[in-house]
Amino acid sequence: MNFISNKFEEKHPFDAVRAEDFGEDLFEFYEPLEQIVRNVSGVNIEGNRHIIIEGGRGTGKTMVLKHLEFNMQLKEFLYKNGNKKQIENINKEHIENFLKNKKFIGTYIHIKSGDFDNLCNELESLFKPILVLKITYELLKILIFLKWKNLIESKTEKMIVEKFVQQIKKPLIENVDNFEDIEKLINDKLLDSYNTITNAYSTYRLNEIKKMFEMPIVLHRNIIFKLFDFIISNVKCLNNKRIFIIIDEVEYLTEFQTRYITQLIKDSDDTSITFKVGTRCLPKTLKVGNTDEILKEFDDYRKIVITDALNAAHSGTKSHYSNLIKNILNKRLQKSSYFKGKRICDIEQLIPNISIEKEARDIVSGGTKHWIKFKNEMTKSKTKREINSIIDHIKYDKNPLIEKLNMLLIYRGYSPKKIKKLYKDFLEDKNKEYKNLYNKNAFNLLIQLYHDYRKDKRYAGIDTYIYLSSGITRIALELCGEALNTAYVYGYKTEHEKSIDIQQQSYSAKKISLKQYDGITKIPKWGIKVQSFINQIGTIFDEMHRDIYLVEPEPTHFETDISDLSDKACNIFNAALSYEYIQKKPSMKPKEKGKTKREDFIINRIFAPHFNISYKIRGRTVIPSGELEKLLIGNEEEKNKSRKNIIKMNTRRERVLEDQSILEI
Amino acid sequence: MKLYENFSIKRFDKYLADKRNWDFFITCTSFEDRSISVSKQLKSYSSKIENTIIVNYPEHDNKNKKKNNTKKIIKNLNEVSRNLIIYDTKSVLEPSLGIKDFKEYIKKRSIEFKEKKILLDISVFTKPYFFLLLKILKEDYNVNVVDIVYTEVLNYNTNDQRKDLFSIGINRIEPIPGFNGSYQNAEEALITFIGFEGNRSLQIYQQISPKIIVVVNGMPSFQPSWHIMSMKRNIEFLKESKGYKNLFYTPTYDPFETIRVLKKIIDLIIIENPKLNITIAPLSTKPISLGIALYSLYHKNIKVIYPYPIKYNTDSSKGENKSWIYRINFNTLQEIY
Repeated sequence: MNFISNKFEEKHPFDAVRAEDFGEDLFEFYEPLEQIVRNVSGVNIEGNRHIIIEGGRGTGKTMVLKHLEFNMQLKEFLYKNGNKKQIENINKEHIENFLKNKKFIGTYIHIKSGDFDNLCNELESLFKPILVLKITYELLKILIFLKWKNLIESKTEKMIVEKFVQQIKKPLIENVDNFEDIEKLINDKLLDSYNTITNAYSTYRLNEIKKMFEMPIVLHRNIIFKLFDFIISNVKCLNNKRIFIIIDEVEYLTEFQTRYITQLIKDSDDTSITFKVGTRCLPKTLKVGNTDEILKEFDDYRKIVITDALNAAHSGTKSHYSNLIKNILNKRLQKSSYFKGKRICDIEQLIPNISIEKEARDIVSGGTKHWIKFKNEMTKSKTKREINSIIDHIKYDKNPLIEKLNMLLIYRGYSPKKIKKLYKDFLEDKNKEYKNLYNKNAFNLLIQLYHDYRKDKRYAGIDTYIYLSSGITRIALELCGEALNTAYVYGYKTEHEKSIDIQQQSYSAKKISLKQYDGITKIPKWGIKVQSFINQIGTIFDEMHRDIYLVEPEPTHFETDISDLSDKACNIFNAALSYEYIQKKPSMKPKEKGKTKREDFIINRIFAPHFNISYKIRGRTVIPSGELEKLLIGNEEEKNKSRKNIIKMNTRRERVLEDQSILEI
Repeated sequence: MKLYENFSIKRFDKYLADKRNWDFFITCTSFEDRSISVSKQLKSYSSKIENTIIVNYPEHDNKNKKKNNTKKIIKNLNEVSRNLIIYDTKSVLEPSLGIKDFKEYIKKRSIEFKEKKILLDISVFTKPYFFLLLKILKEDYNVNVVDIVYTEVLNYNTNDQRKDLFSIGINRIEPIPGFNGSYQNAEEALITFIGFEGNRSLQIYQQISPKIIVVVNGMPSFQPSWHIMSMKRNIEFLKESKGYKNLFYTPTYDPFETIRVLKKIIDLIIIENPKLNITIAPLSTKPISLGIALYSLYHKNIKVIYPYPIKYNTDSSKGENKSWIYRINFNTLQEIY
């Protein structure tokens, strides 16, 4: 029997979403995002600086880090140079060519939940030798490979072995002659001893354990600094190269354990070692070892916030992020013989985009509900005759969004004659003012149109999916995977059709949105509170999308000051941030003169289908910190009151109808 | 030789029909109705117990449910047990500290378990606690034979649509102390024994990111359709992990068959991937978890991971059903492994 792992499948090319799913084939599916990150943050991931990559689940952090690993780099080099041999079968010359072009060799350590949890309290210092031995073990794998390919002389090997043995003071080491022996020593003796000790600690006190077992003494700092430098200086093919120590998912480490890593980063300045670290969320300050010293960004390391970088690459007119996601998806289609055979190699064939104008026409399709709402609103101040006259001026059947914009302008006090002139000019491409208004408001008006007809907003098309992914690659893959799975349920076959039905796409987006929303509760300790907070924010945005004056179209981000939050509220807010349910965005200029800049946050756009709101980053909502506090930890009554205050504050109606005279026809 | 032939599974009431006696009875108090079941049966069959140790976790008991159950247990046992001790542990969520204190307590009272007849009621112990209890009985007190008793629940509050049925939230996901597995670098194979809490299976899967995932469901289940319910409540996990492709079954009441199934799965994994680290998530019934504990006690390189909740739910189960007794003979297990 073969166990099936979650690997790439021909009919479900988007279902494999983790770096682990691809095993040794990772490089074939890898779409480099280094360049995007470099453009946005100015940091070269492959450079000599220590780097900490921050990014939640599914952002591609592991892909980036794993890609730096020696095996991946070598395979990719061979693949790019047309050599499809297995690594084991390549010769010395191939490796020499590879190393000639490489400035580093990478060793990768993946910290898993629970790996070091039992090294707490009195056993915490054991983490240091254990981590170093694990890193050494990974480096040894590379050395053994180079030795097999005749790139390390036996004399050099002996020197390295000797140097390693000198760093083990207890137990007494004998009969260790080559790299393989060290490998065995690390795994079978040293790590095993630590294992026995930590297991015993579950039921024995430390003083009892000390009597029962001999504690190994490993000079871990000597190994990581002196021995590794020694290896670089003495192994000819590695001369002048750097050893990248890649440690992924350090969020699973305790503070003591993280401090040890920061200590190693701090102390490795004049050595051959560079750290590349991946974490879900970086603490605000990174303390070094057991001191009060702090690891300083720019001086000691560079930080990359992967979603910030990708979101930045998605803003404005930049299309880097969009292209990255499309390339990832297209690669999957091209690797699948099922889709390739039917010439579906472009994601836009499978999940085509639809224009908002078509969407609007589909909603209205001969109906008049949006006019009924308008008439009801107008009845408050106009006679029936006046209303009919206004409608004659602003009606334009071919595009309901123009009609909705015209209604908005009426609410805002524009005269019907002026509106008619504006939109007629716009249709002839002569009016920039109206064009700007259209571009700014059309999407929100589309959502209002859905409300007028009591329909749920559709979320379909690959560009929409990319927006919804919020800089998290995995969400884009999940959306496409779900859409395809739904389509199969309804009988989709590439023989009959190329694209997935719009309704099915939208249904899938809603499903993934709900799944993500439900998933919030899984955040340790704060899950339920964070979900309630997201619910408050989503409800506020939903309400504001319905504002007929559209003071702030498409409200999807908020400006606030989190420095005044209580500890509990702050914990909840930070949990939402670290799990990417709320994302930070570069601060905008304050709305009023003389005010200081505050922090801007967006709700993860995957929640847009759940709350029926826009997924673009447009309208800003101001949330005073007092109200934010209530939304985070207030009771139901306080939350309701706070929501109403925020909506009222951000939909200031006094601005509207400022010039009554222009309403005259 | 079939593995389970060396062991016995019997209905507890039928077993008690022949007069029985034990030197030690270790049990636990709880909000659950079934926590009193074994004491009730011991009383009604006039069994004889020399010493009883009732473990009591500190828990909020707003409705005095636990207090009332404890009273009933004590009342029942007063009639069959010569000595009765209530041992208060410091924390339900720190089993390692609790067990170390328990050992000291035993030492202070000069209690000797070796070669004594022990009955351990695992019905309402948290899984980390009973894993550690078994570990110390075997490794520290050199106990050879332990009788384990387990009482089924009559019904779970399955109308509750919450995905966390027995507990609320997740505080942390950690190996059960003493079942840490290995520090060796390797990818993971995760074997998840699913229960009714799909959120926990999913979260463990997401945090472990295994290379291979194997799912074991309990079937036959204690009640008809419960095995379907466990699949239903794990649908999101099964879908995301594709664990349904590597699906096994083991009877919910049978630890020995669980050992056989687990051994088979691990052998299959090792044949293909000898270097993988094996991690087991015991989210299923207590008898299945007992099988996992017994297997893991003999395989130190296996990691048993557990999602510690923020707190346990006080009204997840209703009533009591059949009780089963399992005779564990560590020497026989040793021979088999």
